[in-house]
Amino acid sequence: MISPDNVAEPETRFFTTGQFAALRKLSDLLMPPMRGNPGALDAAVPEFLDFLIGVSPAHRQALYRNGLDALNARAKKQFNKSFADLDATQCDAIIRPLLAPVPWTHEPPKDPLQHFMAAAHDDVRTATRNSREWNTSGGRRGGAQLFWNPIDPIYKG
Amino acid sequence: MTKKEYDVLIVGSGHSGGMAAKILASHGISCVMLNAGPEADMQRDRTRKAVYDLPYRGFGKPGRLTHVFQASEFNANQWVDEAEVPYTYEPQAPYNWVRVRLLGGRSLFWSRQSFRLSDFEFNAAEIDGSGTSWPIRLADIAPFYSRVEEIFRVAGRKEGWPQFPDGNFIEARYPADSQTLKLVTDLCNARGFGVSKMRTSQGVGGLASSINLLLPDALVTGKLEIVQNAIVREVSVNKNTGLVNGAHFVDRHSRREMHVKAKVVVLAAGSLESTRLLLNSGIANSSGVMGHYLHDQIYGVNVTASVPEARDGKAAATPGLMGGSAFLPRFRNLTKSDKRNFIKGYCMMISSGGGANANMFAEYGEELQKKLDHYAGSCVSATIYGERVPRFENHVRINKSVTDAWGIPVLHVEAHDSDNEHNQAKDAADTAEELFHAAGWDLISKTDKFYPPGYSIHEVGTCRMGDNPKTSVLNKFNQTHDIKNLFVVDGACFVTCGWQNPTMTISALSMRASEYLAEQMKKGEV
Repeated sequence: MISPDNVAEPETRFFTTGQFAALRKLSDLLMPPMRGNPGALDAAVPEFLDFLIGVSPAHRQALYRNGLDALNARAKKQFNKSFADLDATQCDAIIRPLLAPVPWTHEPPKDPLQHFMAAAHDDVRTATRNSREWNTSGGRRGGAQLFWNPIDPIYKG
Repeated sequence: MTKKEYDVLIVGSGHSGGMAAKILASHGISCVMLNAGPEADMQRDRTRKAVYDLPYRGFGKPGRLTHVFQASEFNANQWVDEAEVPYTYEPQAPYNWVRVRLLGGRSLFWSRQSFRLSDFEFNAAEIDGSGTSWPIRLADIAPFYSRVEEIFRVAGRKEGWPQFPDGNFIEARYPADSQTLKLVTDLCNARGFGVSKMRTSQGVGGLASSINLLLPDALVTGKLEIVQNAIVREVSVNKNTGLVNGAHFVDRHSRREMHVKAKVVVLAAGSLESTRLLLNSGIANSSGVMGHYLHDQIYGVNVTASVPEARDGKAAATPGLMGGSAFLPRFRNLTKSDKRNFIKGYCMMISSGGGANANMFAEYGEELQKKLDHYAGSCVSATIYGERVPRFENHVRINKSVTDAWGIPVLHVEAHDSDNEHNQAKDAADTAEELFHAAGWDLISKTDKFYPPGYSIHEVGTCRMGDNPKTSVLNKFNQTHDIKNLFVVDGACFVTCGWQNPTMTISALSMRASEYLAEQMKKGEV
């Protein structure tokens, strides 16, 4: 058997076209290919996050939607373009004010957009490093661990 | 057909229940043990999988196990399902209640750090100038600690410090200290902080659990029967005598209601589950303190510094510079002359040779990667476990309007931290920062934050022991003051928790209580 990702493309369902385009751009900025490793776009991270956030609690969904909308709004205001159409320098101008160290990851920044940036940064990095592409590139065979199946699940008859 | 009546019913199969079974069965006492969950099979129930083949690519199903920060998509099925057995709290006072109902309970997965409490903890009221002391001292429990340490095969280095009592250790081999560790150790010693090494239960075959160290000894006597998937609703009471006489339970799969008879009931379901059971049974609370004095440990604080000589890959090229870890048992408030803005203390773990984390910087992409490469292998970091103050106001009670999947009313938890916890954490972070600065290292990240109450998985109290039946639920042998054939042998009995992992103390107290119970039964007193 092979994975569905070997034969098919994921279809995005949650973010709007504009939000998804901003997410794609952001993912590529945060985790480009580096040091011979695949980047977020190689690892289909935007599509994966569209799926993950789509099944996440409402506060997480709002964080992402508002954050991506804000990237587009600021891009429009400063450069009269959507975030996805900016060049690297222009993108940097938008996202740099939103970056902040988060020394205690369980206490995200109070500013909602800095909170969004911290969350998206962490999610993009993790989704890339957990991807098939990352773990099988360069002859690697990583990412495998023991998984606990459901243990004596409640009898359904 | 009347079923036999067992001498003792034990509820729960973790370290405390397993120890009770082992001791009681060794005295020829017939025991039946009810465990809420199933027995796990390490072969059948685990499969090797790649993280990218998991449905959520390792993130875990969103919304599942939100209070178990230790959960991952790989281990999600080992924890109690929060939807099946919920609990409630006020939104502004979150609580992390982390549970395992598999046979063996949390003893299957614990970190194996193994410490004794000291008289700084047992005699807390005199040391702290406030609060309540235990009704026992180290001398009362020391022989039991020694027997437990032999069973668990605890490896440690003896120090001879009163705040860090030595145990019945097997020889521990620690790698020689790296240069950075030696430097930190010298700086700590100059400040009067004792530096030691971790003490760990080696167990047998990589496992230091009830299921391999305790239950087999009980089973081999033929005096223990274990029933899995048995969820206890209520302890039953003989209305005429006021003594307990068994328990009502429901089968996890079929939902059949059952009753088991026993002459004595020993609760070992884990601190809060034992208390929940007693509160739902409406017994043994003439003191009014049942459910109160809930406490655990603060886990958190992180101070990370970088060693200049180890940056840019130089760590790997300089063997013996980085690596290893040091363990500092509590070094605060050990003498009356140590005047702090907090009571009690914390232990500190210092480790050398890690890297920086991405969240420590306001960078991304190539610039971030450059920073991570720059600091990789060059970092020394400190973190702590600290002792929370047991307060009457921090408590659990029954929430009658919410029930679990079997219709049993759930717990409502109310736990708030105070200045003492924050001041302790701040002192720890400042102390580590000063140490690393004195070492000539560059601070990269510092936080004095810590996890919510309950995160440590060391929740204790709520059925505390004491000599005074007006202010305690149990006597010093874990016997309830109100009902002489009812015992609680898990962490619920604690008066204070210390910074120490509670497993050795829970196991020793359960052993001591079980020996006492066996003797009382032989005398016909119980």
